[in-house]
Amino acid sequence: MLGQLAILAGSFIAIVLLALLCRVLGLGRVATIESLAAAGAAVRRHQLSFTPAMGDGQTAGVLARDGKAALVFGADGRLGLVVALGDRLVARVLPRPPAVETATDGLTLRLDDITLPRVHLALTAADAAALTDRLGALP
Amino acid sequence: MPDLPDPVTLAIPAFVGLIVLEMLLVRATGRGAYEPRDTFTSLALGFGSTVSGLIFGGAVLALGVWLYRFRLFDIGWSWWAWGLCFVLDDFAYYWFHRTAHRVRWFWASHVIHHSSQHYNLSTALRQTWTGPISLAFVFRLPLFLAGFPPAMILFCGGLNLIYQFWIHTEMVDRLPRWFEAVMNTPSHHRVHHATNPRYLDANYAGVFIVWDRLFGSFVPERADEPCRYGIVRNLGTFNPFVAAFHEWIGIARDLAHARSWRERWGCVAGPPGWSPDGSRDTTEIIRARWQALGEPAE
Repeated sequence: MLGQLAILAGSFIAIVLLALLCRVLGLGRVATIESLAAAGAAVRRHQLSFTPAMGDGQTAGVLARDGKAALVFGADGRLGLVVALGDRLVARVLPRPPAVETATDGLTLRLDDITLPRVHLALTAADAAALTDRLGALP
Repeated sequence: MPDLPDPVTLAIPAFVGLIVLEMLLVRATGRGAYEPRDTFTSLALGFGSTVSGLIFGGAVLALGVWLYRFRLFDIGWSWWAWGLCFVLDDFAYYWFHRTAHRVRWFWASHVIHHSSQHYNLSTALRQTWTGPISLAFVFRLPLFLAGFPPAMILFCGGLNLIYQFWIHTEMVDRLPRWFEAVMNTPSHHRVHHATNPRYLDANYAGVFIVWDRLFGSFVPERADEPCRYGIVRNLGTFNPFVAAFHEWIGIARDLAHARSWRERWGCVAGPPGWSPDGSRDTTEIIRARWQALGEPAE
């Protein structure tokens, strides 16, 4: 029993040290979403049935000012969501418009998804208001 | 009956050393990738798996020892028994693993191992917490009934797990053709961890890739299509508890909303992604869409 506890304690110390070493070595750049087109491509990679809507020759949607999240409107009316997580992106096609809350520097989207319960979109006040109106008008 | 050590416990220092070496190589070469929080989650899940093994392992072993009382043969400890046990254990692993990707009940436990978007040696330690709950051990029980000594079965299972550690890397490209033909390799296993439609649900092997070649589940890695790692619906968090339990919670929620026994059965025994209304994506749906587009490389 003592031997097993020693192994567990040693393993825990090794876990912390390895995670610290990973950080000290500077591994893992922070991902940013470069453009709405990139966001649309990420959603499409996630789900091939999703086609981003185009508006004025550009992918239609909203890209957060910090490049950490984007909401992409689909050609069929669905919504695509892309979020930066560490050095990778996570994408979703939302079955229904998310609940929206106003935050100090943008909007917080609340999703019915335990693996991605909320997403912060850093937006100007005007962009936040426009997006809230647009999402509110969706069926 | 000899008192055999746990080979996995003995291998822990080597695991740690090789992870450090791989991190240094990633830093030096730019090949492969590590992310500190992802690494912490992988290692924390490995730690939790060890704790789970301490809690449930005794009961599983007791069941195996009990079954061994009804064994068909007295196989004993001869040298050929070791080789045969190792091969048959790997054969049992292949079918467990294939089932774990095709039946949601088993996937709920196994998804942990695939829940990282990275593919490095720390990913190898991203092991299940809920294997005993999903009854994954039943695939190994025939070995006890056949008459292999329980300690031999556990030792061979440990060696199988150790073998699978080193193949979780992007540092090794292709190995000699004869080796790639017979053994599971980093190249074959990268395909297994990939979510590209071409690569989904392939290469279930533990040690010997020949099982995939025999049973039609082998897909080679292509130079023109890099692997995109993770799961079809990647996690939006590094929380290890979410990684460990999210699919079980998904099953519970789907069962709560199921309107018939057919739907309940589908929620538990259907393939991952199955839904009564077809609103979610199984491998078959994803692959059909991809084929309709002319099978483009990503």
